[in-house]
Amino acid sequence: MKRIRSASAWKRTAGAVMALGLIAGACSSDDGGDGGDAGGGGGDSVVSDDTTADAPDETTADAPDDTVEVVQSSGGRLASVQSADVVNCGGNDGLAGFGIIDADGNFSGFDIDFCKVIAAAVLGDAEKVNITPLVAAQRFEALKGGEIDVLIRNTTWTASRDGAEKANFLQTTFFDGQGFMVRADSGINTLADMANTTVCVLTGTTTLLNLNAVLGDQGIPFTALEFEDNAELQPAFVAEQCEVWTSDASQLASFAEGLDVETSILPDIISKEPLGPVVADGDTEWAQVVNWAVMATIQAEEFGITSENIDSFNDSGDSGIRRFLGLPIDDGDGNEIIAEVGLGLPTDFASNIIRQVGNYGEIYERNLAPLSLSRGPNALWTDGGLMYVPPFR
Amino acid sequence: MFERILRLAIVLAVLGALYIAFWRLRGAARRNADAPPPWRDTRILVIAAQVAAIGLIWSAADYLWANFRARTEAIGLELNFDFLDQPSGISIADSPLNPNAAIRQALLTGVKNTFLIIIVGIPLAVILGTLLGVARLSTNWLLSKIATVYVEFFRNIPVLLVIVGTWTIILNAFPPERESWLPFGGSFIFNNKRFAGPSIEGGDNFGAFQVVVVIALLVAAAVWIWRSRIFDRTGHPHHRVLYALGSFVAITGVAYLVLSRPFEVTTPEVVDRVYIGGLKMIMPYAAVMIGLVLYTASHIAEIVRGSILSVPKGQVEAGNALALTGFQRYRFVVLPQAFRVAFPPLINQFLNFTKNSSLAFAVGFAEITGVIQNLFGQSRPAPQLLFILMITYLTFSLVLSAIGNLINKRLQIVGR
Amino acid sequence: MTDTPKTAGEGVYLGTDITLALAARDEAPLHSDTTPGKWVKDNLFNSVMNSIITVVLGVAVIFLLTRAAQWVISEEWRIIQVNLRNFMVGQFPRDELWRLWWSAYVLIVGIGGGVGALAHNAEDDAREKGLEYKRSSWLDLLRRFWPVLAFVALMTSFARTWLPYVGVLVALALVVAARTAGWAMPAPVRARAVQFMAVAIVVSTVILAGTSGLVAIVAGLVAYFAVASETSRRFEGSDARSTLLRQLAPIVVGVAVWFVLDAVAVDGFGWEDWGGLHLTLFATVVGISTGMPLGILLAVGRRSELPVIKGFCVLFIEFVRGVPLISLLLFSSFILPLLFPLSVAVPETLTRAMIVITLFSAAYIAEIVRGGLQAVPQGQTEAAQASGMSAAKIQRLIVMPQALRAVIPAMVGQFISLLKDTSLIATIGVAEFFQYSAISNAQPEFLGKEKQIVTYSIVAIGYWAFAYTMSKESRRLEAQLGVGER
Repeated sequence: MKRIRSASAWKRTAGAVMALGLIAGACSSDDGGDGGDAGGGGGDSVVSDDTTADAPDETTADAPDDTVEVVQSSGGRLASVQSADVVNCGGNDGLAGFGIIDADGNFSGFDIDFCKVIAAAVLGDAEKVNITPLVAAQRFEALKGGEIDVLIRNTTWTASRDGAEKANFLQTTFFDGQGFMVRADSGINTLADMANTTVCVLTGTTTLLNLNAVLGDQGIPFTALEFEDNAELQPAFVAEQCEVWTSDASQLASFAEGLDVETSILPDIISKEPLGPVVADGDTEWAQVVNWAVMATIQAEEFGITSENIDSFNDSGDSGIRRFLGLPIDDGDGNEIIAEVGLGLPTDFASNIIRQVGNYGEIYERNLAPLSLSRGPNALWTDGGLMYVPPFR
Repeated sequence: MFERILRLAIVLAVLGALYIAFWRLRGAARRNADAPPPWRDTRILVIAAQVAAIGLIWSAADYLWANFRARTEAIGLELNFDFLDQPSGISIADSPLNPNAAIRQALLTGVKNTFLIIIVGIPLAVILGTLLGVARLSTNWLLSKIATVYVEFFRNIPVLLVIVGTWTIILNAFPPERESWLPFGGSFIFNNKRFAGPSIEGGDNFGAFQVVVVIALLVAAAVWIWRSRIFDRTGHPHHRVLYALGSFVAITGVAYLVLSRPFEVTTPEVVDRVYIGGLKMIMPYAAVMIGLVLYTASHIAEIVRGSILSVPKGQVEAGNALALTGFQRYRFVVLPQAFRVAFPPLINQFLNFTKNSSLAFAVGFAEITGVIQNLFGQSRPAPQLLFILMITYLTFSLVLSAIGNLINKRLQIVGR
Repeated sequence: MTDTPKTAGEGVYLGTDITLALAARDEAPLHSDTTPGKWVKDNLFNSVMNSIITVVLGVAVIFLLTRAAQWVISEEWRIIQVNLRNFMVGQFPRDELWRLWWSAYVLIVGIGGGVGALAHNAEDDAREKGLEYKRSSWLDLLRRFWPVLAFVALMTSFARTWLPYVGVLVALALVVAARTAGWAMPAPVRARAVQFMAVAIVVSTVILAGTSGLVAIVAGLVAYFAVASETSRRFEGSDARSTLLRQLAPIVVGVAVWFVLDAVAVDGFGWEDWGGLHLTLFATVVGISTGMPLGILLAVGRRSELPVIKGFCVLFIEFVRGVPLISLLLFSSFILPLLFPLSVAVPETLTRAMIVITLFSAAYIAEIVRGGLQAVPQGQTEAAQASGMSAAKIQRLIVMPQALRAVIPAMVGQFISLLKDTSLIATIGVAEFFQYSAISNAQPEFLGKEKQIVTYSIVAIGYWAFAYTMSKESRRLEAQLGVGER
């Protein structure tokens, strides 16, 4: 009696669970594994069904690209950014000059400003940004997962990242190189002097690979101490736990400025470190938008347009500048027309960028000059630097 | 396509089996009027619920797996372990690992380093924790208060903070390498880069000597058992520690002389930043270990204290009545009973210690989590790496708890 | 072996000492009328060994305290002053800080009033049963919660404007007022204290985070339970109308609240904008409260007689408990995004971390609850079966209440460890309390100034204040419930 009573008691639950289980199982067999669509109501089920259903069979090399395009074409990053009315950037929260949370809880820095540049260009408002702080090792995952629209986190452009990480590197905003910093009284002047030293380096970066490769090739024995964060690395260097600190030369210079100890930076630069914005592969439209927004800052500096003097260019007679700023141009017949370059950006995007964020020189001055970083290779090509952008026509 | 057919076939088979089972049971129920109908029969309901559970779990797993495959193929992630043979690009402090060595070797070094933290740290934590737990029960007010403050402080802050804080304090409290602190006439070297101490270095007959040591250990164990048996039989004082130690020292001492100095004690020395001789450890290792020991000891102290308090007062009084001295009461009455109570939660702390060792990467010690974090940064496939990481810790956990359960079982049997 | 205690050896000393302590444990009078001199002799110099220990430790303690005091006075605390808001609330928009204050006030009024009312209910209950009930005085509360209060005072002292002082004082006044008011409420109002608290929590969340998707759903759920408890009280009859009202009204109201809130769409700042200590505490509370139902299910599943269900629960629990939290967090940032269908946007880092933390705490809570379930005597179930209760009812009304009551202290312990464990989400890039130690030290103003020890101390005090208070509460509950005494 007791048994049967208790059985009838949970008959209902068991029955319900069983029915649910069978429905779920049957669904997954019917529409090819995408059982969630049955329950979840299904968004654009055509796209997802195709990709998921064929997924197990596709092992050919070109399959991934197709899938990406299918997915992207269904929305397009530009459209999704515009509809969300915010640009999601991956950034750094602990690197002075490039990306840091300041005392007011705001992100600020060189990389952060370029995120604002993109927001100003696409949405017309530089403040419509959402910065996601990312750990070095996770940044490409965030990009690939579509969590962020653009990654601007002092990220070096390399072939394997362009390839294996499915990343798309755009206009370099900062040309850097890997250098070595030592204490001024250490007696280390060349790479060879570094034999048997302990070298502090950040983990999950290209710096570590370069270090191992270069010193390994030259047969210089060393001990690497790897840290997750500059918060631990920098005190280790100050307390002489490591004689050498290797990182991007710009970072070293900025740290050297803050440290109380006398330091010197070795003349050897062992790598090229072009840093710039990165977007996910497979969305050319969005990549071009980001690229031209960033390049507009450099073009503006070349034109001599700053956030202060931009209004004085309203009457400029230079058609190049007028086209750049989205000002109307006389077509010769007395008609005022506004040039449309077809990038999917508003015609006055450059003007928005310059007004709200500034040109490249201003961004540099604001964030990196306080750290005593000279322009060096980051000067305009007209000044002997590497900053050269295609014409805005 | 094949998978779809397979899935459909499985579902149809399950449904068919259920259908047949249902009708057969119903038929049986009709024949036997006393039996309940199938939808009220516990036997069939049990099976049905389990089938439903399998269906639910399986379809959820299937759904997630389909998503996973779609996403991994979209980003071109290959789900195999071929990358383990590629060069790692990792160099680990004080390890002969070459950056060009295969990833599997880097991972093995990481596992070895994790093991090094556990094997040294757990005994230290037990010793410190026991001392603290006992100190909390001391009649000395100051001692017990200090122990209480220590325990209540370390128990209530995050272990990550303890590790990073320990590291920072060691970093600033110890001198840099060029001003190393050399106690005992340079037998030890302490600086904020490495700690080094004397070690032994094998000579010509070292291999033979090692064999002798093993034999001596066996002999000592045999002597121990022999003395214990005599004690059990006759009640004469056994002095088994003395006997066992004596036989061990005698055998190894003779062997040392016969084999003409098979090993020598070397002290460490720093020549041009290179450490020669002796035993050395890098500072991050020391910091992680000290931090974990400090943290875990505070938890162990509570276990020890609780287990001692759990020994009924009557036991101590009985010991008193038998005219046992204070030490004897402790050694033969309180401790064995307390240890039995303390052991299961102690195993738990050992497991926690093992898991917490994964935080070593925060101060730059390359144990398995650190190595894998590093490989993540090099765009190595994350799913496989994470799989390896989890399997490693699961293995550590399983082995530790298996050993613990074995000992626990013995303890309990002895007790009854 | 037969050494006398006084002839040294630490083991011997400890042995004697412990035995003395154990023997003295129950004999010591609660209020001793000894003179100070005798106290010192008894407690500090009662043997040669103890005298030596006292002297050595005394000197060491005095030395350390002097050094610490010197450091506190001479140290530059500017890094905390400048980053005070960062440590407390992270990157929460500065011109929206009023939301935090008001949501805290609503929460204080809700919880304070609710607690006051519940205390009065408990007193009524005790009086009815002829038991003694001792109401906690304000002094008791101060004694119980001084670490948190001290921490709040410490942090407020770093403020550079008068506003935080006012805010904290208002909060304290509200605590006092709400608790007194809650106590003074008439019985019918007090009977609904829990609903009042739940509504206050929802309102507080709405002020902070607006009524975006998740908040509306949670509010709907809260409304459902609030109304359900109300209708089950009012319509007790078993006629069709009462049953219908009992079953239907909560659903209707819950769905209505959900839809209305979702439609109103009040602006707010979701948790991706939160940070600092606020986020740490929030993540802990959410981790425990979402882990709890899941953990109970897992615990029941683990005790199931059906091998499939039991096996799944055992596998899940043992797997989660066997790997470190850091590996699960790495899972949340590397693998979890890959488990979402391609058509769905991947949620941000914190949401994924919260999913993993929920599963993590569920596995640990499951083991705690299982311990509680095992502690419920078999006779209870048998008695319930004999009185004809269904299996589900036995679980819900007989077994679970007893089991959960027994595990409250352990649950508080789990809360403490989760509070400490949330510091790990810093390693996947979430700017919570601990992470601001690193961030503030990387700001240009403090870069290279070696202020790590300063920030670590503040962070340690913060965690300690909350964890220590909770652990004392856990011990108090243990004594109150008589759990520890078997």
